[in-house]
Amino acid sequence: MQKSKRKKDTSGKVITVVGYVFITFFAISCLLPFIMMTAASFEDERTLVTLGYSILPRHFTLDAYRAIFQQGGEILGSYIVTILLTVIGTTLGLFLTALTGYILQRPDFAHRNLVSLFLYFTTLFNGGLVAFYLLITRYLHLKNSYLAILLPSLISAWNIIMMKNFIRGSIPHEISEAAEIDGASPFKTFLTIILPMSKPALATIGLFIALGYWNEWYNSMLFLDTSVKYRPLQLVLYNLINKANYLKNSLAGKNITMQELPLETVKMATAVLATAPIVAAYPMVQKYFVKGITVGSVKG
Amino acid sequence: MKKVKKILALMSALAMTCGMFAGCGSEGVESKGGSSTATVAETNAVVDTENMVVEQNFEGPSGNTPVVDGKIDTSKFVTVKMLMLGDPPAGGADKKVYEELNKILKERINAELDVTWIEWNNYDTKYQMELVSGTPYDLIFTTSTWLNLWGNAEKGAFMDMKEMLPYYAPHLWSDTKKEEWAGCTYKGQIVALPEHRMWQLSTPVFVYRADWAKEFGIDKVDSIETLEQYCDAILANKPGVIPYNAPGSVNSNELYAMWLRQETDYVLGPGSIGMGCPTTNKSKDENWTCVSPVFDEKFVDFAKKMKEWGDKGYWPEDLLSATIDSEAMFLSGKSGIYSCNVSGYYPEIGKMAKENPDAELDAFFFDEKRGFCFSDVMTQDSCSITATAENPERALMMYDLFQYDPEIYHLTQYGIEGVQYVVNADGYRERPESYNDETDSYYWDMWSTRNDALEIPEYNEFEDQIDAIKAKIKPWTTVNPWGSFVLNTTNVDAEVTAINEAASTWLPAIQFGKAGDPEEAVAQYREALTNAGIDTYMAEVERQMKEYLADQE
Repeated sequence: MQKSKRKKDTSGKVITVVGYVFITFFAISCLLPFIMMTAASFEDERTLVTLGYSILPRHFTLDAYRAIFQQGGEILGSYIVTILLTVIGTTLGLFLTALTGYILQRPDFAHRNLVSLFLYFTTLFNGGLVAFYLLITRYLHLKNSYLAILLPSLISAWNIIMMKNFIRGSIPHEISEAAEIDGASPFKTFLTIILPMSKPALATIGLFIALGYWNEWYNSMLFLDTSVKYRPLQLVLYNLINKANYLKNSLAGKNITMQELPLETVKMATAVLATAPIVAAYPMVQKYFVKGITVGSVKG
Repeated sequence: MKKVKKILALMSALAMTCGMFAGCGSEGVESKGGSSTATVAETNAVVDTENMVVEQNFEGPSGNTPVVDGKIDTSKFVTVKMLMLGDPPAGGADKKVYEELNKILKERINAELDVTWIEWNNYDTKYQMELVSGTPYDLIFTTSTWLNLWGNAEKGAFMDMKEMLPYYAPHLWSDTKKEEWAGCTYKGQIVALPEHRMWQLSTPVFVYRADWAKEFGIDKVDSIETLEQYCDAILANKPGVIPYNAPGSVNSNELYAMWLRQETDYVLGPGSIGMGCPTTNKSKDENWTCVSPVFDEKFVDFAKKMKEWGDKGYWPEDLLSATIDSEAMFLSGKSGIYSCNVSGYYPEIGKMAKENPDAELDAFFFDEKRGFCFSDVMTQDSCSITATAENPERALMMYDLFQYDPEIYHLTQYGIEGVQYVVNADGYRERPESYNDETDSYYWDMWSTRNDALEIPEYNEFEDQIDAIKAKIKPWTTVNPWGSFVLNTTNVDAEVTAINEAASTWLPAIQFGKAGDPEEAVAQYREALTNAGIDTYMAEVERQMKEYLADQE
């Protein structure tokens, strides 16, 4: 017994040491590019182009950030638009997802399987980009409207299925029944009993939705053209960074003078601006996220 | 009835040619303040009489701008929607310019212009979406080289302008030769407006340091041999300088392009494919034959040479994975060569003078040895009218003004005089003192309206040098011999993808000598191309070319 325990101790130690070394390396390899990116954003353009990246900026300057923020407050407006879209979208999306998920798992909802199938079907088959574009622009007339960004990402079939499974697995239907016997209306049951009990699932799904809104650029690219003054942050940054690539690899570039293309340091500074809020907010939601990771797994 | 009308029309057209209606020019239809309404009498003289009949009355597709008794009726005010590619000027000066422009347009043709931009980022997706959703753009930028003009024309996205042009765009109609229209015609329909009044030639060059070459005792770099001497001398005499300090990518083909033009007769034409161009057309004279230079025996020698150059250190060891700004390297004296097109060479002279006044530049023109270079296709930058357009007639009138009216030309191309530009005493265009790049920056991205005849040149310190280069290459200009031939790749889509894949895997590695033993690498590249179906592809190209030639006769 003792022998095996000691053996376990040493092997445990080895594993711990190996684990720490591995994780340290892993952490460094994750952190290093981020540090270099941040350093490069404070670097002098000429130094960066000729000498390359480094851990610390050799010639500290704020030129890149100045260049970005000088664009008539556009970036600031974009920040606000993105934050609003994220907050409104996440709140509304979470509410609708939870509501749908809850209804779909209630045994007394007669056609729940049919409706579930209907939702599930959209994850396998869809009309594709052209149909989607036509729907938004020709039928809903949402071109150049923020609603074109808000609505499509509001509800996702995956999130609903995840929510449905969570509620079915961890909140017995008897709880809802008990609440209703006590006189609560179905909506009140949902609001006061079901929602508070699904916090872990809400945190995870909320994070998915929020990240989705924060990183959203594709729909903005399609539906918001240059006549919209403040467009979501990621689109603005994406435009700034990728313009050069698009022109370089295309014959279109021959008509454009190179002075209009962004500098390397500006690209780095935009990357910092895009990730900074997420990095700052992450520690605050991390504990929910860790708990939420197990949401989809089988419960004992 | 219709026949009678036709005959009548023919007769009236004849009558007008005789000058009977010559006086009509001044009458014009009364439009709100409209004075210079064009008349058919003016345009009639230029009509291609072989196949074009100009009638006295023409309804026009929309009916908003009919021709009545030989005069254009612009009494209905309309808005012309135009789509351009590019990021709009950051300061919003374009809107002020359009305001000015619309004042003039209102007066001249009782219409206004409404511009929409498609930004560079993902432009191809957005452009295609605009077309499929049927937004009624009256003028829409297009090009056959990077926006699939012919493919979209096949799908019926664009309107045939053939009938409208003589009425509504008389200057453009008369100023365009028959073969120039041929380059804009798809299946008998004129679906695009040509970019034909601005001379330009795309010929690839290696810009090099002439002062260094002199130092090494090399008179001129104008061949692969002299280039080799130049690079060897850099390695021997300029420590820290890499002869060709550049990144390699799947699109790299500059050395292959050099070899093609220096050592072979092959020409790049409609049979060429992708950036790797493993197939080309046979030669200037046998331009309707599709061949593959990769299977040429000389290609092995090229591969060996490039391996040798790579081993000597002509370019960075890790270039296939590196990101290097090759221009910055060249300007800062860390590279002896800068690869670009001749249009990229002109600004380089000024930049280098600013960076290093002692440096002298010259360029190795790959095409100089053969002495010719095919001009761009007519639809390199072009403009079309969408099939759903609501005011195609007024759009053409406007386009005619954009390209041929000096006042409107200067306004659209340069901006407002006094704000974006002033003309100095020597007749050069320059920035006024009040010009502020952040708020006044302006440009016009409908490139096909550019017209050398109406240009006001900008003063350039290095004008003499640039003129010398232009004088040197201008005689090489050779009209693109393929006209409106377009390869339809529908039958060989899979082959095209596979061939491009093989080429982007092997060509950069071979041309930089990074594919191991050159003979083996070439053998593998050939095998990859064969497996990708290059024979099927070339057979298809030949078949379509024969078909096209038969159609022409």
